[in-house]
Parts: sequence; C-alpha cells; structure tokens
Amino acid sequence: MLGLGADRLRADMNRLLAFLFHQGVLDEQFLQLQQLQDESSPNFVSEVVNIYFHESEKLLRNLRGLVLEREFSDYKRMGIHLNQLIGSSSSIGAKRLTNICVAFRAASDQNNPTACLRALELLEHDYCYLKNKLHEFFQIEQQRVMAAGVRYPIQN
Amino acid sequence: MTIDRSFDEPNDQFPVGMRVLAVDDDPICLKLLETLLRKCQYHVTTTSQAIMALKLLRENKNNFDLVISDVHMPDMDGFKLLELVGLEMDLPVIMLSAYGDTKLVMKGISHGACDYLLKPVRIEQLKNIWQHVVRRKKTDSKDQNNSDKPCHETEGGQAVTGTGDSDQNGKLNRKKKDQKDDENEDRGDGGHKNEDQSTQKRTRLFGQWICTASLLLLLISWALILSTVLFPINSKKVLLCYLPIMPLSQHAELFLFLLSLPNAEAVPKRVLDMMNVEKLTRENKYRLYLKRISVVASHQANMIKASAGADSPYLRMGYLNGLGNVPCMAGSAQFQNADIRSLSSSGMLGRLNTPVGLGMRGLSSSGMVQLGHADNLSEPINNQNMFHQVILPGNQNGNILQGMPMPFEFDQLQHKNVVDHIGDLSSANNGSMVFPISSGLSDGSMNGNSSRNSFLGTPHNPVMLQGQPQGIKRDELHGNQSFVTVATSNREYSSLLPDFRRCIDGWPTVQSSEIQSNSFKSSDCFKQDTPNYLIERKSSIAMDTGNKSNDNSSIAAVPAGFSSFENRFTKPSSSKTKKQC
Repeated sequence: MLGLGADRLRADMNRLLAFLFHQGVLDEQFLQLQQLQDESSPNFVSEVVNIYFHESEKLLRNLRGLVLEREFSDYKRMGIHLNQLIGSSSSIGAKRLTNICVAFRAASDQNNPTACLRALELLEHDYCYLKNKLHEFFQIEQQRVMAAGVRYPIQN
Repeated sequence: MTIDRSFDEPNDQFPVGMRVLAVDDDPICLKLLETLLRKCQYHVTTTSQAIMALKLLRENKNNFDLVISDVHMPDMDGFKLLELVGLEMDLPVIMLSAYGDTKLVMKGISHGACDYLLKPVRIEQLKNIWQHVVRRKKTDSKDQNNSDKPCHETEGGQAVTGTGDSDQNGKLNRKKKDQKDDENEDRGDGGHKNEDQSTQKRTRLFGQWICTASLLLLLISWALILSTVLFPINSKKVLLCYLPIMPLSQHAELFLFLLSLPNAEAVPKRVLDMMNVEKLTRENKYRLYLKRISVVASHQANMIKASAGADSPYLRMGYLNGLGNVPCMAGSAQFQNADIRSLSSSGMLGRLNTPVGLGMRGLSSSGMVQLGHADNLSEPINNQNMFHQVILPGNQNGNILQGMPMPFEFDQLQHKNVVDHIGDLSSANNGSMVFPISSGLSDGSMNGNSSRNSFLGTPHNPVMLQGQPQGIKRDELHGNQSFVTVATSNREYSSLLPDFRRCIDGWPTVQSSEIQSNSFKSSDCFKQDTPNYLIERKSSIAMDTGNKSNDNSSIAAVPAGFSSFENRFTKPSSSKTKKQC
C-alpha cells in the first residue's frame, strides 16, 4: 500500500517535470542536476535549487531597485547582476528564465528603459511561477522519500 | 591516488586526482562545478574570491594542477587573475562565463587562457580538461630543452587562427588542433620530442596557410569593393559590361587600365579598342542580346542586359513561355563564367518586371508569388516548392491552398506560415469562421502530449466531420470534386481542410482526420480511448451540425461519416504516418 503511494508520487513528479519541460521552463541541465544526486549527496538538487532561489531573490531585488530608479542610468551594474542571474539560471536548467535574462541584458545594452522594465516584470512573473512549481516538486519528492523509506526494511 | 608528473606513466592514471582550484563568485555555479569535478574524480578546492584563490596559489604553487575561474567577479577581474596566475605560477587556467561574446573569448585567449567554457558547464567538457595540464607540462619540458619558440608559435598560430576565422571556426580549429595534439601526445611513450616538433611545425604551417588564405580572400573582396567605389561613373559602366564576359586574366589588366584613364575616356568602345579585345565588339554584343531578349530598353537597360547575358540559362527557362521562343544561346559560348554572375543575376532579375522575374526571385528566396502567373511558369519552376508563402487577395480559396504545403506535418515552422496565411485569408474573406481552424491546426501540429489532446479534439472534430459526411466516399478519396461542392456551400472553413488535402499527391482526402488520429496514436495513452472519444463526440456533433448547418442531410450523414471514420481509424495507419513524415 505504501509502496504504491511512492510509485504514484514518483509518477506525479515525472509528470510535473515533463510538463515543465514541455512548457520550456526547464531543460536538460535540470536532469544533469538530478543525475548528480546520489547516496553521497542525497539532497543535492534541492540544496542547489534553494541556494538559487536565495541568490536570485537578492539579484531580482537589486534589479528592481535599479530599474525603478528615477535616474535609471546604471546599466553597467544591471549588466553585472544579469550576468550572474544568467549564469545561475542556466546552471539550474531554468531555460525560460535564462532567455528572459538574455533579452533583458540586450535591452540594457541598448539602454532602453521601457524594455528593461518589461523584461523585469516578465522575469519576476516567471520566477514566481518556477519557484512555485519547484516547491511543489520538492514537496512531492519529500513525500515520496518518506513513503519509500518505510519500505526499505521490508525490502532488505 | 598519487599525482605523478612524469610522462612515462600511462595516462589513465593521471587525470584521476588532478587538483583543481575553482573560483566563482556565484555560489550555485561553484557548488555545481565542485560536484561535477568530483564526479570526474578530480580533487577540488573551491573559493568564491579571487584574492583568496591567489593566496592559496601563492602559498604553494605545487598544490594545484589547474585553475578554473569565472570571468566576472566582484573583487578582481577574471582576466587579471588569469594573467597573474600565468605569470607567477605558470599553471593552466580555464575561463568560465555565462557570456560567450567573441571579444571576451578573444581577450581570454590573448591573456593566456587554455580554454573558455560557457555556462552551464556540462560534465563532458570537464572530463577533458586534464589535457591542458599535460600539454602545459610537455611544452614546459620542451622549453627547457629547446628555446621558447615552439610554445609561443603554437599559441601564436592558435591566436591568429582565432582572428582569421569567425569565433566558432577559430574555436573549432583550436579544438581540432588540440585533439590532434592530444592524439599525437597519446601515441607512444616518452622520447617522442621530435614527433612533437614536427606536429607543431605542421600545426604552425596549417595556421599560416589559413592566414594567407584569409588574406587572399580579403584582397579579392577589397579589389571588388574598390572597383565599385573608386572608379568614376564611366569606368563603372565599363566594368559592369565587361567584367562578366572577360576572362579572368584580363580583369587585372582592365582594372589597371581603367584606373589610368580619365573619366571622359573610359567609355566602352574606347576601352575595348585600347585593350584590343577582338571578338566582343560592342555592336556584335548588342545584336546578339537583342536577338535573345525582345524587350526594348533604354541605354541603361542595354547595359543591364549586357551584363545579364551571362545569366542565360536562368533566363531561358523563364522566357520560354512569357516571351516567345528563345534561340539557342550561341553567344553564351563566348561568355565565360564570371565570378559575379550569381550576384548580378539576383540583382538583374530583380529589375525585370516580368512575372518570371518575380518567379525567379521566389526561387532564390521564399518570396511572394502571384498565383495568377502560376500557369506561366515552366515545369521546373512549378515543381519546386516555392509556394511556401502565398498570398492571394480574396477570391479563390481553392487555388490558394493548392499551393500550400501540408499543414499537418509536424513542423511548427511551416505550420506557422500556414496559420499566418489562413489569418490573411480570413481577413480577406469572412473572418471569424477561419479562426477556429487556425487554432486547431496549430494545436494539431504539436506532437501528442497528454495535455494537448483535448485541444486537438475540440476544434477539429466538429469542423472536419461536417466537411466529411458531405463528401466522403471511399472511391472519391482522391477526387476533388466532392469538396469543391462543399466549398461552394456556405461554410468556407470546412472547405479549407479538403483543399489542403488536395495538394498532397496520393493522399486520401480524409487525411486530416487521420492525421489527427495519428497524432492521437502517437501518444499511447489515447490508443484505446479515441474510438470512445469519437463516439462520445458523435452526439455532440450531431447537435452542432443541427445548429450550424443549413443542410439537413448532413445530420443524417454524420453517423454514416462517423462509422466510415471509425473504420478508417482502426486501419493501421502507420504507413501513412511515415508518408506524412
């Protein structure tokens, strides 16, 4: 009974992942992350993703501050933040976020404040979406681990 | 796992346990890098600050074999770190960045980086980084034996190659050379220094060859540019006329000659006389052309034709129908293939106002073709798939779609064009009826995903099955007439789908529904469901047709259509799927 629950939960996880892949929100880099997870680092993916959320929120706050500035001239700092965001998003496998950041960077290279603002809004929106979905994913994972954990003594 | 620095050790021992220092201010990338490097069985030290990294390196330079560093760091520029490490410790450094701009890569190379990786880093890339350590060690040992020349020249050759080609080509060449060098290094054990020298010499020569080739190309393009820019107007005319038809050997002569002449004297006749060009007298040339081309033009048009004479094979096809017979291109024998023929052909044809000219343009680029002239085009042009984008204002639905590629190919790009033009049609005709199809079609193009199949069903079924019962018979699958009658009924959108089918050779006309069913098949979970699904839809569609259709017979026909549809569906349609792909 419990084993069935674990399998169903895994199916749920896979379905969620497939959905996110299909939408273009995630790409194979996320799978690479999953492959790096093993017995020696069982929570690797969730650790990395949590660090990512933490850092990205800081960066997004900074970006918002820069974009909404009355003067709005510090494109260079914006570029630096964006570089870091691009690097971390692509390392996670957050494809859509990476693309938005790249567009954002292009807009800031052209010193276009309207485009920057629009890109920022899109970025924040997609970031929230990704965060929710990944939280959901990890919740299911936790449940699955717990459900599967009960089985181990019987299996061994 | 001891680190062994001699070359005599077999290589499979060495990469394991190689000591890497990773520097990156982004904690996510750093953690990921660390895990990846550990997966490759390297020994990893990480730090997020460049200053800390320098400190670690200065403590004992023998602690590390390789450094990987991010380019953008807050406390110190990655390139600066690269320089310092190269100068003080002479360790191989790999740059890492999210931004792969050519200038940055160039900067990295010129500062001495062994490699430049783009984020996100894949494990496959990290599996090979040990080669830089080995190469560096070998070069160093050679430096001790010989002078510094081989090392620098290899790097110089690599750097110049980077400038000569585009960024990717340069990288590719470098990678190829790296691999070549690696292969040479892997072959045999120690004492093959001579082999290395010859390999490096070969590499150097190859690099030099590429440089000279690129320089030559530059010179040629420079010469062409000069010819158009530097020469005054008369000389330009002369060049335009005669460059395509003069042999290459005379080109240089012509250039120099025109340069020496003042503008007033550089008229074609004069030039010809002075250069003693015998066969191609002005009169002869023009006469020949006028025979071929019946379009009488002004002086300028004469010039154009003169230079377009070399394009005869292209023109001949086009002019066959439009302008009467074309005599054999006797004159073309004397016209040699010119370098700029292809350039002038697209340019010249652009100026021709015939439909063929437009058609030719469509050949080279997927341009708009007026279907009114479709009949005029000769066979070879017709068969080509130039009807990618077709716009016909208004009247003839059937004709438009005749030219369209199959929209149900699982190719979203082509599909977009179709959707765009359906949109155009709708704007030209009566609007809203077409839109359900376009959305349905766009859904239909995507491969079956469970979440999508519901979309596939809704817009398609009512529309298509309305079209079908009125026209479906087994025998008439390839017949178009039945659908023409459908087209003449008041529902134009239902006619669009049959007309789509018409343009595909040998495809039964129920194809669109089949393809839909094929797409169902492609997602396994719907295999059993679909017949039930269709049966469910029967009743709703009967109701729909009752509402929408003015033709009462269609309601009765729907179940009949359905049953035939279901029969079709149970048939193995894998062969059709293959055709489709």
